[in-house]
Amino acid sequence: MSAFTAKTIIDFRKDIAPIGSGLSGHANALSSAFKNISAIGGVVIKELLRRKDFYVLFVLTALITVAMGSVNFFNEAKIVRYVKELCLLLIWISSLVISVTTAARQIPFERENRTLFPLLAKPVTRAQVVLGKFWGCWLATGLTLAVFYIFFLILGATRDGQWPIGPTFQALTLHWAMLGVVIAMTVLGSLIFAAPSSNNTITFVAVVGILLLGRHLNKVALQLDEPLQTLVYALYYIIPHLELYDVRDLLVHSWGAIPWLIWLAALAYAIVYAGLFLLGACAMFKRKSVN
Amino acid sequence: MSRGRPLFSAAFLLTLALGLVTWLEPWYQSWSGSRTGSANLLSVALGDSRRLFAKHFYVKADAYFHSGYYPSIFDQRPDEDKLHMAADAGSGNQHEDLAERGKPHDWIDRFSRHFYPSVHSHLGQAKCNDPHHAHGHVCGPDCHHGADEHEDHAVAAAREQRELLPWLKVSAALDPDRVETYITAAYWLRSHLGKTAEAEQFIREGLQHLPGEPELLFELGRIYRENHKDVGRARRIWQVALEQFRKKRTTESPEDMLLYAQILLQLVKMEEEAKDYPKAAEYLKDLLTISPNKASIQKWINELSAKAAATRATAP
Repeated sequence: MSAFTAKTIIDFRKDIAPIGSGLSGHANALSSAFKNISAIGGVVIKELLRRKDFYVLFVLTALITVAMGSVNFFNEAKIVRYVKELCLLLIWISSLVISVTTAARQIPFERENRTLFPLLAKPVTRAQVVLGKFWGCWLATGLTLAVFYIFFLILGATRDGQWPIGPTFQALTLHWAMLGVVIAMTVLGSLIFAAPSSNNTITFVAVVGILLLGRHLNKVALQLDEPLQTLVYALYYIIPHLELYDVRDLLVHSWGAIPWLIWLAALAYAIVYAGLFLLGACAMFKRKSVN
Repeated sequence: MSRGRPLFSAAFLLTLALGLVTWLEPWYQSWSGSRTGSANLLSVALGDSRRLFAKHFYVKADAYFHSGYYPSIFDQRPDEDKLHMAADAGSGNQHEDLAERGKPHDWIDRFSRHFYPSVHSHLGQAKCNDPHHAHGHVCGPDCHHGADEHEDHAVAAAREQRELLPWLKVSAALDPDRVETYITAAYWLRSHLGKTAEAEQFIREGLQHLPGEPELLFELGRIYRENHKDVGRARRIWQVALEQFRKKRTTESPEDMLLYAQILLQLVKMEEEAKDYPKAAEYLKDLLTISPNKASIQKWINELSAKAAATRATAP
């Protein structure tokens, strides 16, 4: 690890939990930091509960799924996979919309409404603001995902009488981990791009691009000539492989649970990428003028 | 003056619009590209692009047949007219199974194969729940299970096969002129799910869109012969199928030649069972003209002629 990176990480740690923030000792500083982060996160969750986005998307998902589920195909009442596939597609679209739009507006709106100044005037560091916003958005999307997946599980059980708890839990947690990376990416984007709208668009394009093409970039690279081949292959290794977390086909076609160690490794992969994006966001926000 | 100008402009534009509408409306109603004549909501909304979606959903059914294991557009994909799920359905094309995925290119590729169906499997093929089996294992002859467990697999298989149906139905709704969709759906309905009435109904729907289509008539005949055991009706339907084939098709393409041979063979068997040997021999003579196995067909004709002679000799 280079000296510069080590210094950045040490600065970042000090920025999250500064020892001189009115409390004594590292433990107290950390505890204070977590309190600040969870307080900021709590505001984001309340904001999501107040806004109508989630309710509208959930009702739409439920309505479309139930309407499609009630279609009669050759008098076979127990056909379930197409309903599950549609429901999961809607859940993915809804969760991406909620997470990206919620994360993209957090810091720009605080700046626009000038509520960022009183927030920073309290013993709250900039890194805590970034982490608090990320934490709040991530928890809020976790709550919405839990509601969506419970609906999915009940829907499946009413059709075929099966309760695939393990695979559904894995799908939910992987989906949530993937959204963690997306939210971290969006928070970083909100500090780079001028407006939430441009951040939303660019993040959506990047995420959808990775979901659709990420798995195949290596095959594309192998068909190219040098130096393009090396460049595309490097891109393949660099991008966060969000498509890994899309286990809808396994769930729809009842392939059973993924080995738990593989599942854990996937979560660790997401934590690394979310951490990198957050590190970048904290570093950017530290240098950015707030007015 | 300045107040009157906007009013004048508005009145002029309104008059122009009304004048244009009296000319455009009759033209639009008689225009061949107008969708107002169709009662089908999908055709009004999507126009001819619905055929593209129909293909997509037909391929989707094949992906379901492989339990989600399906090549992407970056891999080698089978021809859309030769999908594996239609292999036993009796339509004329040479159908292909999917290629196995090769070795992973890199560690991300290897790791990612845990997160999507990466093992070749067919709908109804048992996927073991045995924890000792690796993820994605498909039961083969080397698997050692109790008999009851395999019985459970058989029940599960029948349950899984119905999952193809919605995509085939949607595909047919989007493109009612695609024969293979009706044939494939009818095959799965009658052969695996025991839904003969639904299969017949679906084939009849197809015949409404494609009147006299020999492939559909052949499939309808099979339903009457194999499921309803109504030999007389099956014979009449196959005779119509043969007549329609001779009117509409030639035996130039291998698919059409196979269909022609199938119709003739079914009629031969039926006539032979009914002891109408001269009629059976007549159909065989037609088959002889296209069959690459002329010697065995000729032998069969000779046998039938001998039987016919014996029948005539024993007749009072």
